Amino acid sequence: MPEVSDELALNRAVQGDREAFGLLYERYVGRIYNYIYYRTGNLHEAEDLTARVFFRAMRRIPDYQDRGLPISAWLYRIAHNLVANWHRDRGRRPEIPLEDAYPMPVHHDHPELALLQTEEREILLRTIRDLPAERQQLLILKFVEHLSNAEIGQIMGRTEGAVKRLYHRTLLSLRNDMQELRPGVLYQQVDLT
Amino acid sequence: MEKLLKYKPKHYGDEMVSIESILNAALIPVVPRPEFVGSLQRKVMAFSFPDVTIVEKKPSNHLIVLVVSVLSATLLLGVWVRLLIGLGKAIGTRVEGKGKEHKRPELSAQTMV
Repeated sequence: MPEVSDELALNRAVQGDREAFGLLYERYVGRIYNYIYYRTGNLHEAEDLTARVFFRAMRRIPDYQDRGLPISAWLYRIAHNLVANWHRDRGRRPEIPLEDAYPMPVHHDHPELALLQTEEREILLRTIRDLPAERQQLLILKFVEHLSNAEIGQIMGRTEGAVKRLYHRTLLSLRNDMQELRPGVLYQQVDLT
Repeated sequence: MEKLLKYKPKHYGDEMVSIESILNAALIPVVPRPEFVGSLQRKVMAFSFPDVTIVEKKPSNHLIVLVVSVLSATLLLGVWVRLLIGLGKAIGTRVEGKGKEHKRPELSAQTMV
């Protein structure tokens, strides 16, 4: 079913069409995995929670109510709730060392990444993970998924203007947090770029 | 003051651009393992929709059992209460009757004196 839209696939899946659900799975598994990976900072947890998201979606899809939102909004909502539960449970368990959590990917075709030292990247990712959940979600949707403010607004249940304002505040708080952790990091980056 | 106001937005803008470029460089999409994606797809597809309808039927059966048990419990309780009241009344009338029997000879003795 290559030309089937999300809406049509969703309607079919709600009526019990497994293939339609499979199509939605193929379209969104990567995005949900990325979202969870950047929220948890752990590859194994990303796999485990991604699996849970799709099992939960499969169980609940017969009761799905169309509110005019894209299917991605529903899947991100499930992922968001599961990640929140994971963070709550993790508070009772010892933390995973950062070097195990974030294996540095090698991207030779990304020149900017060469400028960013592993340590600085780790600091940045840790700082992002310390942000409130909605701000983390905004950054992931913007920079990992490259979604527009309008699309992010649909997923997060906010207006485009509210997303813009939240984005602005997020960058400001990120700048302040990073300067507290590593004064001068941002200015080094400015000089280099 | 004017200088500061003029300078700050420019510097601030540079900072924002630099943060955005850092975020662009750091937040790279990761690709899940193909084995994971494939095995999860198989598991998800094996998960059957009819189970959901079976689960939906169960609560209605439970509801009927619950209603029947509540009704029968109420009925039983009613019968027991009635029985207890009946017993209480029967014991009460017997005691009353015995009390009257005891009082009669005393009265007759007084009248004799």
